[in-house]
Amino acid sequence: MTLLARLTTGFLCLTLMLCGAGLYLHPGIGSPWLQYFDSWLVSIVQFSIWQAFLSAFFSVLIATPIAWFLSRQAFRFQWVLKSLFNLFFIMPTLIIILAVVAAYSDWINVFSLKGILIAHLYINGPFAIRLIWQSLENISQEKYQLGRSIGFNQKQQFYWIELPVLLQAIKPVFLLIFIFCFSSFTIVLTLGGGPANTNLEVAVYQALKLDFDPKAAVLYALIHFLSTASIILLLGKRASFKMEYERLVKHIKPSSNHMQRLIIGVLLLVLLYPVTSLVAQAFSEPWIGSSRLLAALTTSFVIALFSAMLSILLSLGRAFSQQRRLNLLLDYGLNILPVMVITTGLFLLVLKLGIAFKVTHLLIIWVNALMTMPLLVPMLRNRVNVYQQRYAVIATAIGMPLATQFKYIYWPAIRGQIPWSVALAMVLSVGDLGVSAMVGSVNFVTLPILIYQAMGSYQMILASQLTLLLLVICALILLAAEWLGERKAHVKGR
Amino acid sequence: MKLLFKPFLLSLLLASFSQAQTLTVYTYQSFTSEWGPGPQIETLFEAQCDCDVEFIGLEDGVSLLNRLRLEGQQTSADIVLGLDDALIEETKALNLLQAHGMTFENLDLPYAFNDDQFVPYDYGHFAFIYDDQKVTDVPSSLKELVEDSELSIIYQDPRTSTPGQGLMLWVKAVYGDESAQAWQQLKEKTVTVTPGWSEAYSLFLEGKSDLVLSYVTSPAYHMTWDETEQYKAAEFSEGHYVQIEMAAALKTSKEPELAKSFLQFLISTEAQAVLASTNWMQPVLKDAETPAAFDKLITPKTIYTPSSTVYKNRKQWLREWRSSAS
Repeated sequence: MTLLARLTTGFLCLTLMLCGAGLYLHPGIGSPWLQYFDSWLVSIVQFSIWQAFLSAFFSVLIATPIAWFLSRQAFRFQWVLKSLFNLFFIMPTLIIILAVVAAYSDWINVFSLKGILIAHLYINGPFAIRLIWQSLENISQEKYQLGRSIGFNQKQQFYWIELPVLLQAIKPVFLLIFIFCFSSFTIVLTLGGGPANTNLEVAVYQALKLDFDPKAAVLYALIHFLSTASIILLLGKRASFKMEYERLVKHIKPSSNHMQRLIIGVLLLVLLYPVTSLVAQAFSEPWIGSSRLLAALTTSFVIALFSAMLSILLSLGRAFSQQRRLNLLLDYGLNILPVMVITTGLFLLVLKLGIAFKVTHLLIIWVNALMTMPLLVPMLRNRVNVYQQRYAVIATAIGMPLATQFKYIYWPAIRGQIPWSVALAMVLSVGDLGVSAMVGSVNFVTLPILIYQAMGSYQMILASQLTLLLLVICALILLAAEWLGERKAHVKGR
Repeated sequence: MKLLFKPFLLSLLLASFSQAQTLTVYTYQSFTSEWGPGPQIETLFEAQCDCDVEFIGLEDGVSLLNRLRLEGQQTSADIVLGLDDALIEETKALNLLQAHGMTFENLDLPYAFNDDQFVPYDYGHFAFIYDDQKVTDVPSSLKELVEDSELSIIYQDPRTSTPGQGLMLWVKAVYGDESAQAWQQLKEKTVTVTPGWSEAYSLFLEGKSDLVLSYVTSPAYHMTWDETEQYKAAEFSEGHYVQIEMAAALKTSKEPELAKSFLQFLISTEAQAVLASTNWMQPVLKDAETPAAFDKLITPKTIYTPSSTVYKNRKQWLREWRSSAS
């Protein structure tokens, strides 16, 4: 365990060092540094901030009242709704994008800031509802009882009990979504529609892919990193990502009130409408297919599987690591370092070494594994910590070997989490466009790249068919995890 | 574990094995589409070469240059097809191409042209296309479009697409030092800037804009296949920017002879007829067969900028466009 923890620490330090080396040693083509500080830089920074602000603002604005209504009364099947919200957050962004295009392109020009905002709302709105709802649910019943006992009416109850909680919850949710959207790549790339809608991440990509100007890429990546870092400092402590299915519901009152039912109905309609449009578009013509589909599927699957395994190993290493300063710093770094910055650093390094297109698979597996870690580590660490507190002293006292400790103490603790963690990591990796589009050579295809290319050549029906395939694959992975998780639970129960 | 590794290794093995007999051609998306020249060119050439032609379609022509720069010696391309005359100097400076050893006496080009590495295969004048059932007050000059017209336009990104780059050079030729202002004016009318020609033209046909940047020859497609003359090219009094499309073979190609014979094939009678009727561009071969509709097209004055001038200024002009059009 200590070995694994040390290896992980070493691996992460190595990654950061290599990334830094890549950014520093970039193949030095480009103009003098000062030339990059032009009106273009100003406009992309402005756009990055404005877009992220609008996305976060609308997400919170819409989510807050909905979350409040949903929290009025616990209802049966609320875990289904919560799982749906989670799904929208982890679903590959390409699915959301294609769904939004299929659903809204007849009404508005989706290839614009509007389109970007709608797509971001679909991802982050449910996420915001989920988080705010959770914090309202956490208000203890005693508080309400106390309120009732001193004769609070509805308004007073809201003002004195719920509003402070809401206000406290809104700030981190807003900032979290702001950061996500600030670092949004796929959505801005695909729905940007012209140079006016370019954010820092897309600018990094364009600097490498359109201008081959590594210096510009380095600069934009650094600015991006510094801005996210300072925003996170605003957040204070590490943001918690909670992506587990929650089934344990306290205080089930098996009914929902009318208002809740109405809201849930509208919410489901709004959330599912684009998905049904996507399905309708996909089925509007017979299967078109692509000669490169098999290659794309194989590559996507292999990359997803290996990056999930690497991610689990690394996350376990993190979970077992002691909370020393270096480790805290590393965890912190992982959370705030935008994926594209790591990708850019590593890619520039292998370009410099002249092996960039020989190590494509490795590079993507590597970066994807890092990308999923911030989601997996907290889940695993929570379990490990509980068991560590309970048994570590005893285990050491009786001189239990580490391997035995792992087998009898920690493995049973985390076993239930493994399928879900693997599935989460695989889904995130299988839907990734950014990293593979950035580092892949022309004939490197994954399913998302194929979808992007179909979209690029405006074959929207082919794109939606391939996207539906991606959706089915993700659903199968998640269902498999559910099923495996369940089975394990039964075995344990016996 | 072993089982999972196998398909992975197998696919790698297959990839490296098939590369030995394949001619890999990097080109732009619309060339490879089913209605583009790609499939027919592939069939015709494969019939005489006993090889496998693989087209890989990028967004558009300028992406080819960007790709070559990024991939350098590691590129798996044998041929790049779809760069244009404006980009010759800059591409040659990468020192990645091999000489073709051909002469162009039998070719008919819009201006005198010769190069030892690039083979021209078709050309066309850029033009804004409109639907005359929808649009009446068509501008008669670029200046009128930029300054007075209220029509909406879609054009392509000059960083990825040769038509987009053509518009950039066209504006530069007409406006010179005042180009930045012209771009700001154009921005007001711009619906969207697409990465390549295909998306722009599809969006236009869906009715998303009044005008789209394409070629003088584009209406011939509609006359031939849709039997309609409603799509027309707006003729501009300043002249129209011309583009000669080129192909070249790479030094790093494992099949240099095959690559050369492909370049020769491109200016053969049969390939030229295919290009005219599927790529909808003017053939370069003097007596190549063209679709009947070509006779009804406008024949505008030619504007072009020498590629050495483009090479010197492209980066800066792109910057100017980027800042003023955003």
